[in-house]
Amino acid sequence: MKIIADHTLDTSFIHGLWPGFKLTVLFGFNLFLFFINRLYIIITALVITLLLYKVAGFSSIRIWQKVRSVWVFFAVLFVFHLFFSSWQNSLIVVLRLASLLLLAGLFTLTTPSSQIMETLERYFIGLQSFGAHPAKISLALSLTLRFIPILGQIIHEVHEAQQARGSEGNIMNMTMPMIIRTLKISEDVASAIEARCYDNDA
Amino acid sequence: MSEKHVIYDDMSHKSTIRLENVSVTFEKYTVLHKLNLLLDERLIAVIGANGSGKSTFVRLLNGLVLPTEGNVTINGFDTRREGKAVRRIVGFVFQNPDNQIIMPTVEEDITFGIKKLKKEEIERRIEETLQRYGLLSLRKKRVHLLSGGQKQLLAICGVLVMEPHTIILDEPTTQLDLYNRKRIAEIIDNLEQRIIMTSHDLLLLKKFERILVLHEGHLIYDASPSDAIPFYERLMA
Amino acid sequence: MTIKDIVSIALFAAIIATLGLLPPIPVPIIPVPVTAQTLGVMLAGVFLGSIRAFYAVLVFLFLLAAGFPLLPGGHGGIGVFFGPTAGYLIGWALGAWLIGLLYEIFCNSLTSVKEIIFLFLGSIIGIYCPGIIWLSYEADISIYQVCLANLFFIPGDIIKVTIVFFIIRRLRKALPNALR
Repeated sequence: MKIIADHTLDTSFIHGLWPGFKLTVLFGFNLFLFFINRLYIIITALVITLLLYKVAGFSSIRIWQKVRSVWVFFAVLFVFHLFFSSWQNSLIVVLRLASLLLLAGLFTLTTPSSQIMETLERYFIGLQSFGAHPAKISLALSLTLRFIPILGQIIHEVHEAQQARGSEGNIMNMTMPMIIRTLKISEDVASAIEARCYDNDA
Repeated sequence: MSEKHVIYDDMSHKSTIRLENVSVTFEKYTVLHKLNLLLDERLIAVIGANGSGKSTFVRLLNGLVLPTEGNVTINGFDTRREGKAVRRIVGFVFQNPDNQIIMPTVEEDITFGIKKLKKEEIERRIEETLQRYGLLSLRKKRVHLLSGGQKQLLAICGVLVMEPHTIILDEPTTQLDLYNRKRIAEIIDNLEQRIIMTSHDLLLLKKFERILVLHEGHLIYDASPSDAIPFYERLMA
Repeated sequence: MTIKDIVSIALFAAIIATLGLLPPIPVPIIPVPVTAQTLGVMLAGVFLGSIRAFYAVLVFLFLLAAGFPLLPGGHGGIGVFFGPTAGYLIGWALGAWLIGLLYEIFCNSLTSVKEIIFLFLGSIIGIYCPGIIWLSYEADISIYQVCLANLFFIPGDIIKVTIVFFIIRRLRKALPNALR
């Protein structure tokens, strides 16, 4: 059951930056890239991104891991544009996408999810006047993180029980018991929260 | 420690639970019939077969279930009108700790019920409670990595940090092995608070002062363990 | 939002996350992996209604953005919101909302045919529209061509809608009170 986020414990100057700052830079940078259609600017952006990986102390393997899942897509996209537009355009589209993903990946690698959650939750407080409810949002987030391993356990048990009865679990047979148990525990959990004096208007 | 003792003793003398003509009906089923009770002993147990209404009975006592008829008052607080006040003085430990533990890590979960207090006070209570029940080393641990026994302990700690003066435990040992059952029994023995517990574990009840036997929603026996347990065993035979 | 609402939102967000742990649904003929997670998205719409279902997906997406690897294969992180599938993820929120809305509007006159139509509308209008628009923009491909590529996913969607439909039917028998 792996729900531990993908960041590392190493420290570099990038790890130490304030997450809100990193997030702003990330969005700014990526927004900028979207409006750029010059190949040399995009190549520069990619090189800067790769250098940042080095500064943060990551090896090339990490970089590959970040693009591994989409490389087929990249390849298809490249060939597609090669046929329908030009090789410059192929490079622009693929390299732009690569730098977007790599920079975002660097953010994830260098920022623990607890910090990201804290930062984003702080933005919710700013949204309070628009009807957002920070305390409720954080309750929902914590509860979800709490439930994921419980549901994972249920799926595991159901799978075992079905194997014991000689049926390979298909999606339907796995999902049904999970939903039924979920609907049943939701009542208990709600009363537990109430019993533990959670203040509804906090 | 001694200071705390005084506070709890003081409260438990005053604290009384009163049920006046209480019935509970869910849809068409009457789950509890016309209960009239005054509870002021420190150790009270509720026993009965599955479906006898004991879970509903204990949920009445902290306002999680409201009476369809009649009134329940704890220290004069009516569960219907003053639910929040009641829940502040009556803690509740559920049968399945997985449904009660709300936050992803031990520390966050312990803090859940006391967020409104001052920082230092929160820190003091967490430290003291975790220390006392041997969970201090697990403070930062993720809840789903705890063992069954540790989860049940955490569930109890989450209630104890709120310093209630009555603690309700709904079958706290059902899911535990013998070692952990003994441990929970020991913990219950050492608590200063008033305890109201439902259990199928008759050995756990030897030291209790008063035992209520429920059967199909009726209170059919109300006595000390030496009388009530043999009665219950005959009933179940 | 009552406490109960928050709990059910969190539970369905967790269901969507947990379904990512299951192996992808195999689709005959076509070599496209189909995630079971959109089953959770549709079920959220059916069970929670428009608003709560929308929030449930948002909670899931929020945790994803925060770096939890909740997509199949352990993917996650803010990068997925810049990647080719970002639009589909946003579409999950829209799809859940739409299905919830349709179920709410027609709650007194539901028939099997209507239900299947609603589930399809949710997954096609709700999930595909933002998905296609984003992909077309990011990959610089015309909307029409992206739509053609999307046809590959239709068999998977037929299977998923069928599964959801049968889950709902079975649940109505198992827990008559769960679905209003």
